[in-house]
Formats: sequence, structure tokens, C-alpha cells
Amino acid sequence: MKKDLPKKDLKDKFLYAASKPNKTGDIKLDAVHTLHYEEFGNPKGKPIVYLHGGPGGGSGDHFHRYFDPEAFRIIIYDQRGAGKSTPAAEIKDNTPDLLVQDIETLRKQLGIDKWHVYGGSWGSTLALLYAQAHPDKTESLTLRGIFLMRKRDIEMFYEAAELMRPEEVRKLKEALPEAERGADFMENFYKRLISDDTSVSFPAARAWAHFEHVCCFLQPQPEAAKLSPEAQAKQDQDDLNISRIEAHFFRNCLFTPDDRILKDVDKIRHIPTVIVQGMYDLVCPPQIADDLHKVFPEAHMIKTVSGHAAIEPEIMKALVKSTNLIRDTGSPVPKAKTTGAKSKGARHSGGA
Amino acid sequence: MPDADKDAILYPASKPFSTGKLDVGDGHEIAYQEYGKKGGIPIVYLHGGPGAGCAPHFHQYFDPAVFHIITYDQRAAPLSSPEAFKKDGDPKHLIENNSPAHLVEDNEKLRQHLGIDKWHLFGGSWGSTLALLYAEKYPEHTESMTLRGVFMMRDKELDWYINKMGVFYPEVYKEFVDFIPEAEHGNMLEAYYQRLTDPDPKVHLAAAAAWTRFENGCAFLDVPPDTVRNDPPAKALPFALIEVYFMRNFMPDDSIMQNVDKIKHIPTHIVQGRHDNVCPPMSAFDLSEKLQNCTIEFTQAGHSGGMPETVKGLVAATDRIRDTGSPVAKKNSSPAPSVKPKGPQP
Repeated sequence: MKKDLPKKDLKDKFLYAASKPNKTGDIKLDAVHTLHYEEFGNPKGKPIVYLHGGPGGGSGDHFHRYFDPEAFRIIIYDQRGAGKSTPAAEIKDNTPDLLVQDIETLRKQLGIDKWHVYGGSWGSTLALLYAQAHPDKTESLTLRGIFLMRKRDIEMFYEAAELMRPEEVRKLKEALPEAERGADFMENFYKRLISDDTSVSFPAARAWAHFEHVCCFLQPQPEAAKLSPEAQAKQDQDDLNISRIEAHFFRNCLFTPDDRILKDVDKIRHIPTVIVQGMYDLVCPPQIADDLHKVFPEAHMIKTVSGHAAIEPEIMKALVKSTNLIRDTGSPVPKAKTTGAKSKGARHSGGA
Repeated sequence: MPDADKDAILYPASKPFSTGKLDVGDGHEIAYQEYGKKGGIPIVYLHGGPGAGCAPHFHQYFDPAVFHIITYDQRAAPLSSPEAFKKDGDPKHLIENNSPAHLVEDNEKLRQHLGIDKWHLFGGSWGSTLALLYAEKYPEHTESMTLRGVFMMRDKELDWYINKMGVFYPEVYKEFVDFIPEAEHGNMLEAYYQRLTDPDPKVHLAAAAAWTRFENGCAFLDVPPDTVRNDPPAKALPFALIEVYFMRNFMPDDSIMQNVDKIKHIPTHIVQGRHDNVCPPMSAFDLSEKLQNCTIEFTQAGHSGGMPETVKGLVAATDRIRDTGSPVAKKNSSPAPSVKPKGPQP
């Protein structure tokens, strides 16, 4: 066995220091759902809201660290069925449009007139949807690993994984009985994930969440450490939240038209927007970001040599740089680039 | 490309102790070079493409004090251009009497010509395909295989190359697609083939440049579209045309996997770029599972054989051949070290 060496956490190198929330709260959304939120940073600072991924991914402990706590009023919340929002993993009354509505509910509750919106992966989808529904409330968009939830986007991930991470695809399928591993294996995952019996849903969720996790990074990821029973229980629930809600959205909640976000792009082209995109993002391949950029050329695109995850080193750097720009100038778009020209210098900058 | 990184890992350059041309019939001859130690451990370098030809550093993957190193340009690759092509420049001469089966027999003729009984095979990309085809036909003459970026001509690999890998390189993919009028987008391979075989140099050279630029643009981990390599026409034409012709006429083909039992005993080491989009890891993985004496190593690299992590893995494999007679790594050895992220703090 290899000895476990203490690993340097790159988050400590690239992100702001961790802090405690100065306020937390819960909002009753309807008969079913309650939303949990937390506020960090400076209550008088520029308001910025973090839209997490998945859907169902929930908030990470480090999410507030992408923002200067002295300058920002940082709002982190869990979407329906995710994280500390309740009930966990609930897919009843859980749709993209309801999630957009929840952001508005939260904004009003917090007495914020207009805010900066920040999100990666599914968070980018939700940010775009929100901005298109409420452009007058959206100060700017900071987006990472663009996902438009078109049918093609979902297929692309699986196709790419099959060729680029064949051993992980196999592990994923091995979570199903052999007879269920054929062309309809996604549907078979769905059936297991929505089961009320956790002895059925947890193993499927664990396999799916692990698969997605390893596909998010450019570098090989260390094997997960053995968890305490309590930590494992929490992990199982988190895995189910993301796997079940994703499966539900991707199967039951696709847009009409499929490329609705691209069709509605003119509603948001005036909003200062930055896109941080990993060039080797398997989960959301860069073609998706390019499709958006083609119809939204005013957005400032930064391509980095990285995968999908928000904690990929180059992505952390680019995101913090962008929020620092919001702090300093009110916009995440560098001044010289406001004309919409694509940044060539940044796309492969090891530094900058 | 960080050539300095690569050069630091490779053996020093040397001069061939012999060069020659072997007439392989059908109007073709192949140009070969021998380096290193006469009478040493024989190893043959099978280049990619097909049609890419040899680069000057290919002999440097091997310890020259120990190996008898053979490099050669496959049929119709730049140094082995057929006389007919040199006379009138018509690209069709590059693909006349040219097929995977011809290239396998050429390799065998070269072995016999050099008086070698059994040799080690070393090849990446198309070179891995040719190594596998040759080993399946002539397992008794194959001592071992050292493969990089495995390509097995199957349906999925072809579909990925032509229709899908572009999602990771949308800018170069757009150029590749835009070169062909929209009416022909349904069959890009055929559209490129028609232009590459056009006798007018204006047409076939432009198509060769576009095809080659696409592959070059997808082969590295960190090449922004504005610095993608453009190969000179003398290199781009045989590369693009022979590759497209082989894909169009001889693929998809599942024969390598169907015949894999014939080579399952041959010691094999695979160095596979984890982020190789041109020849994705699926094929190396599928192959490694069918071979009984095979190790596979994923490197933090794309397709190119010149990326530092991959070069390291390949040189280590030939060093093992030198030291133990086999490129197979110790089982369960940890994967190659990863490239450390670098850069300033926020």
C-alpha cells in the first residue's frame, strides 16, 4: 500500500480564505420544497449569487471562496432537492422554470435589487435561463463549463466518455445487472435512481456520481478515502441528490425548442458576460461554449487547459480573476475586450 | 512544441550506419535507414499517418549502443515517393497498389532483406495499426510490440475521428468543415477524397493542407488554433491522401480484434495519452484486455508522440527491452507522473 502523503490543497493556493457565513436561512417555496441559503462576505458589498451544478449538486464548502469577502455580499444556496434544501433528492415540482422562479424569490427575500450571477456546468444553464427571464435583475454573468441541456449536449458527454474513459464507463455499467447494460442502460439507471428503496437507489447513485466526478478532471484523481458511517451516509445522500435530479432533468425536462437558450440569446447580449471553458472538458465539451459564443460574440471567452471541474487549477485562476474584475470594475469582462473579440492570449496562458 | 523537453529525454542523434532503397514491386520502393549497433537487438520503427514518413529524431527512442534501429518511410510516404509521382505529380500514384496489406508485406520484405529473423516492433497511431496487422500475420517474426496511441480501424474510431473529436477543438473543426461546401457535409471523407485525388495541384494541395491542419490541431494538449502547425505540401499531401484513401477504402475493419488471439502471447507495452483525441484511449484499453502479456500506461498527453510524458514512457519501454528483452512494465506500477500545474497565485 502506498503511504498517504499530506496533499497540498490547490484551493488554498488559488482561492480566498474560508470564512463562516454571517447569515443563514430557509425559505418555504411551496407545499413541498424549502430552500436553504447562506450569506458570506460583506453584507454591504456587491451582491453575487452562486448557482451550483448538477442539477442536484448542492453547495460545496469552498464555493464562497471564489469571491473577495471584503468586496462581495456572497449568496450561496441549494437548489430544490439539493444540499441542505429539503426534502432531499425530491423531483416532484422540480423543473428548470421553478428553479428560475426560486432565484427571484431568494433575491426579493434578501432585498437585493440587482445582482451578479455566477455558475458553472448546470449552474451556467440556470444562470442563462435566469438572465433571459430577468435581464433587468442581472448585473453580470460569470459562467464556467457551458451546458445548454440540449439533447446533443447530454449525448456528447456519454459518447466522449466511452472513448476517452473506457474503464470508467465499464465501472459505471457494472453497477447494473448484466441484462440492463445495453443501449437502454441510461433508462435503467433512471429507474433505479427514482426507486424509494435506497438499497436500489444508493448503489446506482454512487456509481453515477463517481463516474461524473472522475470525468471532471484532467489529472487522475486519488481513490476516495474510507469514510466514517456518518460521512458515508451524507455522501450517499449527496450522490442520490445529484444523480436522481440530473436523471430527471435530462429525461423529463428538456426544453422546447431544444436550443431554447440559444434562441433567446438576444435578451442577454447586453449583459457583461465571461465564459471560462476547459479545453478538455469531457462533461461539457468546448463545442457547447463555442455554440453559445457564436450567437453571443460579446461574451468574453477564456479557454484553459483543463477539464470540467470548478476546482481545476487553471479554472480556479480564471474564475477568481473574473470576480476580481467585477470587484474592481463592476464587470467580469476585461476592459480591452469589451468589443467582443475573442481573447487569444488567455486561452492557453499558463500564467496571466 | 517543447522540443527542448523532448530532446532531454531522447537518446542523442546519430548518423545511420547504412541507408538503402528496397524495391517492393508494383512500382514502389521504400527508403530505409539503419542506426545504432550492427548486429544489435533489432527494432523497427513504424511511422504514423499512413503516409507521414519519418522525422529525423525517430531513431532517438532507442539506446544506440545496444539496438539495431531500423526506420523507413512506408510505401508512397515522402522519402519513398513512387517514380511515377515524381514525374507528373499526379496524386493518384500515391495510392496505386497501396493498402494496409501491401504495407504489411513491405515490412516483411524489409525484414528478409536485412537478414533479421525476429524483431521488435515500435509504432504509434497508424504505426500501431501496422504493427498489429504485421504481428497477426507474422507472429513468429515479432519479438515484442511497443505501441502508442493505438488505432485499430474500427467503426467507432473512424466515426470519432471524422465526426466527433472536433467537439474538443471547435475552432479547427469549423475550418475543417467549412473547407467543404455544405451540400457535401454528409460525407466528409468522400468530399476530401475527391479533392485530394484531383490532378490540379491547386485543388489537391489545398485539401491536403486543410486535412493535415485538422489532425495537427487535434493532436496536442495545448495548441491554440492560431499556432496549429501547417505542414509543407510535400509532407501534407501523402499524409492526407493516403490516410483518407485508407479510411475510405479499407475501413471500418474489425480484423485486428478478430485475430487478436494470434498475438496474445507477444510481450506488449502501450503508452497511451490520456487525452488523445485522435486515437482515444478506448482502443488501447480494449486491446490491452485481450493480450496476456501486456501493460498499459496512461500519460498526461494528447496524441502526439512528441509530448514529454509520452516520450518518457516510450524510452523507458525500449530501455526495458534492452535490459530484459521485453517492453512489458512491472505490473501495477503507478502511472507516469503527471504534469504539475504551474502558474502564479491570484
